[in-house]
Amino acid sequence: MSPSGNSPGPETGTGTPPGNVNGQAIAITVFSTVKRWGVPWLRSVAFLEPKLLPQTLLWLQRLSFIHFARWSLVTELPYNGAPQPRQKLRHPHMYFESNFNGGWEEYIDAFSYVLRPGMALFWGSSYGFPGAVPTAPFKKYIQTSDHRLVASHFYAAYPAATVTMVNQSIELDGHLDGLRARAKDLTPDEFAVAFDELLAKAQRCF
Amino acid sequence: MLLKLPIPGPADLPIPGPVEFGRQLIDTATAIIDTNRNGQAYAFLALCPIYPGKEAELRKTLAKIDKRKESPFARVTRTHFARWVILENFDNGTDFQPADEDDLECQFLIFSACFDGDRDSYLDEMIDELAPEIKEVWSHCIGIEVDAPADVKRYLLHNQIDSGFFYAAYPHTTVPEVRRMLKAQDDLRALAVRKHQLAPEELQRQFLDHFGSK
Amino acid sequence: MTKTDDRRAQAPSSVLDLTDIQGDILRAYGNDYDCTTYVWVTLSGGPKAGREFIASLAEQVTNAAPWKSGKPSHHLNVALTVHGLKALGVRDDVIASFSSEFRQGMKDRHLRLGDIGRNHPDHWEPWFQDGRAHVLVTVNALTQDDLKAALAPLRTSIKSTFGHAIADEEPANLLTGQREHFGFADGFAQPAIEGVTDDKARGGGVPQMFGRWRALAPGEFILGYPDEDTRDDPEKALPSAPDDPLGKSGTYMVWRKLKQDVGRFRQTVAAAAERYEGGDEAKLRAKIVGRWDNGAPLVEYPDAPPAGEFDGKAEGANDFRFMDDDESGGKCPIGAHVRRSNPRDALGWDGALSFRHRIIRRGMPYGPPLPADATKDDGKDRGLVFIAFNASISRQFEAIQVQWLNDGNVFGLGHDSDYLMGGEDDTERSMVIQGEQPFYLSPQPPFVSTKGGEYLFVPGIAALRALGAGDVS
Repeated sequence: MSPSGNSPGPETGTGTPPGNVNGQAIAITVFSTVKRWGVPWLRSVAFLEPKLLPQTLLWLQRLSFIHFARWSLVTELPYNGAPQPRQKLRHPHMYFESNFNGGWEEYIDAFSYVLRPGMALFWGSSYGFPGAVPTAPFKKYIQTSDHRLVASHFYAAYPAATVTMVNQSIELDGHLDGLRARAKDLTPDEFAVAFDELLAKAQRCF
Repeated sequence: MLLKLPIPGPADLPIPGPVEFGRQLIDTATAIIDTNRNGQAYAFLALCPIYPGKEAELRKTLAKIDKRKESPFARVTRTHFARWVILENFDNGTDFQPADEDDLECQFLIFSACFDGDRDSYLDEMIDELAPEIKEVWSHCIGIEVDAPADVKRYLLHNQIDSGFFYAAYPHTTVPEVRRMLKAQDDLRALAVRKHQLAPEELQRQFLDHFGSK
Repeated sequence: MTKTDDRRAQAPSSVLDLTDIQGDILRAYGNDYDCTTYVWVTLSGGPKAGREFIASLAEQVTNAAPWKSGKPSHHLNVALTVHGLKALGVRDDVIASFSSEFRQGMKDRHLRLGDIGRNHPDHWEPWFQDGRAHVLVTVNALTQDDLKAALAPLRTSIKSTFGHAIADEEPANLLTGQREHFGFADGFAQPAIEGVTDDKARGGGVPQMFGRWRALAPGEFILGYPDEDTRDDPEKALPSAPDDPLGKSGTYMVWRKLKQDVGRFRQTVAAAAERYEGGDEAKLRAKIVGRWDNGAPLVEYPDAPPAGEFDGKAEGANDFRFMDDDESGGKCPIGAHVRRSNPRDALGWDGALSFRHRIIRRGMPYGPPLPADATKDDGKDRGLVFIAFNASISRQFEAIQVQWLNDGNVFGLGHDSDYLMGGEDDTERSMVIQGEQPFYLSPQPPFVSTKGGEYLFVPGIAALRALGAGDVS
């Protein structure tokens, strides 16, 4: 059942490059240049706050379309000796990657109308960040940034699944555990009743 | 207009039980001690300098690997997601960058992976399982001895970029668990749909067949 | 992008110029004008004769201004495919200013639309396969005689006067009681548009807090006006539209011919109802659609429909929400057709994830009805001519089709497609009907298949004249 790493994936319609797509999964890789005040801001506020107060990420959990995402500050380039040129960075740069499930329209809606304040937390100190209102320049910012880097190879371990499906299956597993343990000790008629109870409890899990 | 803080109101906040609360405390502590971690998940990122003049060749190599039937990362079964991306320059688009934007003097290979468990054992496993591809890919990079597993590991660690913040939708669920649960979801749905055709004995038997053990 | 820059100079008005907008976009003729023929024209007479034909049509089309002296006996409206624009000799740079999905056309978008398997363009009517469908002339008439009287001179003008050809004539008729072929009253939930249908905001607009609703910006449906993104833009940029003069008062149109297998639908529901709530077939039909046969919504009438006809046009008849009243789907299933195609607040966040995906819908059944007592198909071709108007085919029509009807993920339904309309595969469609004890509909071959269609541009009236005069050729 091992899902192949290179299934054709959904047509994203607004030009997501095929390299960034694997089944339902889409890879986004973005570097944005950060203003100097962004370094202390990101380190002491933006990156710390959601760790201390995980509840503030509930909206991201609820939107349920990002599997994994990460933000990193790059202030210097790792040096590996000659012939690598020694280069000192004039600006800090923020690396962002996301592994999410399309469609693209859903993603644009979520970022434009739901996640805007959250985006300001992470991208407010980046050059070109247009602020929350109006919407049109904001969308242009997302679209321009998100299509910039194309993955040469993108692997997803379960490309047919969406975040919602994974979350539902985790919840379902809990319901299944209850019946699994006692299923063989029940008479067939008792089992049929217990199975209906399971379906009723788990009806939003698939 | 539609702008409002997407912070859930008090009624939306699930009140965690003691177990859940304890787990959250541990998660918070882990994420602060090691910013690359979230629950049991780890996010690894390395920026590796590419030999000047070898960029096109590396692109070809990666394209060749990408066309293969199965991704090499499928062999490292702890991998949720992984990617190779070539960074040519810091190009945000002219509207979105400062006038004196950094101009990269050499291109970089971005390697990133989200996986289960700790970094060191993952890298060991990956270096072992991906030995041929590591040679193919990283031989285009400066400062690595692709034939020496110990040096590959040293190299990846040396070029690692720490996460500032790592979000995971299901930080406590491993790849094999995700796959098993997704299959159970499919199987249960199928059983639910054909339930009306099955006598209780048969229903019970099929349930035990599919779900009797994990 | 440069275009938006040019447009910043003039402050856009959000008051629609009804005399410049074709009449069938904002007004549903179908209710009164239940005799319709869609005439697909091939401009085989060459670009010059093509432009002359368009110029003659420009003087005949009905605009959206209120009628001054009673109901006209018929209406005529015009739209063009990208093949049509090319056949008129419209300049490449002008064509390039149209949206990419319009330029590609429905056929080339078939993968995205899920038109695969039995719905693949290879099985479409030939004129939708080979680019012969250039111009669509829609004739709506009060009676069959009015329709005949309007079609005769149109045919003469197309063939004799201008030397073009008719690729197809597709007659369509409202069925008794405003029903479509499966037997459901149709066409209730239309978007409320500012300055046009503000009175329909309750149930037709965007759900707001405290039970309020608001109408949508006109630019969601008519090009050249502010839409939901640009209405708050201090720079007054307008949404993307074709180059002027084509970018004003026009819109994009989706035309799809959907064949319905009424016999299969009736058999399937009857068989499933045998094990559903003591054989309650009417309720099972309602659960699949989300409305009873007479159109009454399940959220409001979960147990039984109101007696007699349901007046969908009455104030507040469509004023219902899913999350307030029915988050669990116990009344209207999560996968019911109306909940998928117009989710209102069902995706949470007060409709923030759905309000940019609304369409004006103008469907019209074609073919004879299957007799009410028939349980088997009689082999006759029948179905629905599905029509949608929107300012962005990809953001509006396609998003609904792709994310809401062909896939169930955003609703928590995995990759289930819409039970009523979706699917190309014989085995993969099923549906959960939530309730105290959930009910599972078995996998079924689809009831509906695509017989073809086109993406069209509906020019404003001044734009139509400009096309006729060769101003953009």
